[in-house]
Amino acid sequence: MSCSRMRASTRRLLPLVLLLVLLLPIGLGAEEGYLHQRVSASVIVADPDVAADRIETWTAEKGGYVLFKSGIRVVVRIPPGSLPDLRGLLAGVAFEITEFSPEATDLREATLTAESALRSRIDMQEKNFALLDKADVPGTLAVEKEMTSLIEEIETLRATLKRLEVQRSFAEAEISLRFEKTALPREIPSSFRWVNEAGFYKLMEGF
Amino acid sequence: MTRIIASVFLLALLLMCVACLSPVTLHPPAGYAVMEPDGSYRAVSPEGMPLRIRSFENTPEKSLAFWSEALQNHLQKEGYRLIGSMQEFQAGDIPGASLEWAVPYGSDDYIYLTALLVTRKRIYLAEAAAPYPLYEQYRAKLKESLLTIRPR
Repeated sequence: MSCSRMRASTRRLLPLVLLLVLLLPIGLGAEEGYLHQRVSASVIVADPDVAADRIETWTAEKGGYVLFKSGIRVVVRIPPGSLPDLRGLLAGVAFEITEFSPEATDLREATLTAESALRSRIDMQEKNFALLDKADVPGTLAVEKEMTSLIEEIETLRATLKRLEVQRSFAEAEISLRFEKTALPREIPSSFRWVNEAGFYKLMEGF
Repeated sequence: MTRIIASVFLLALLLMCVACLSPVTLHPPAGYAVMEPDGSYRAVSPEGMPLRIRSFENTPEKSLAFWSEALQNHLQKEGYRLIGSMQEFQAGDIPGASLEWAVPYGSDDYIYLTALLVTRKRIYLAEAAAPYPLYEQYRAKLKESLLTIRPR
């Protein structure tokens, strides 16, 4: 192939390559926008209540919120951009991170399916509105019955889309807190006879 | 004389049987098998999670609040770690209070439940325990079951 032909081919292909280069990041961004990210973690801490409080404070600072908090487990929602910082936080509050498992779910199909279903139902609703003016009494009743069903489906689809939007906007982290076993419970006599009968080990040995 | 001996024997037998009876009746948590009572109510889940309810004399006669605090202080001194706060409930006419504790046992963390019901004459102590994941499965059912406790 001569140099002039190569130059001509390159000139023809250049706009196409530039277009691809411009579109590629947008495509990737769109994919990331449909991802729901989730992390399951398990840590060993000295004081689970203090650790849970620290996780809660950090979550609020990052613009997230707590779904569930106890001395054993904390479940939070945080902006996806904060997820890389989570591991650092856990390293700071825990003696040991025994599990850190990230996962991501692609919500594109579910979102587009719900959006498509919602659009079609809204279209049907509008058509039914138009029919109401022209219908006789039995027809009106039939249309109203269908409208009631449509309204219910539309509300359900809107709720589904809302839930998917939240999942796309926030990553979820479930952190199990285990405390370091510094000492086993030891028997200390109580002044009350029946209180001395209570105890975990007595229960387990009694069975 | 024979009649007297027979009567005493029968009375002793009756008293032994009564002593072996469960001190309470209740609807056990769904899935639990109720065991032969040995003076206490005993039931166990298919995974081996025990539930036991015993009765003690309320001496000196004190309230639920007093005995709950006494039990809580005692277990905390022994090293049990309290999870959350005391939960009050009602078993028929009798007020009750429950606490959950974290306890290391072997290589697992167990949750140990203590629930108290106090009447004028008796104290009823319900206990259950299991590794944390198993306890979570049965927790709601256990709490529902506590509401059905009725003294015999």
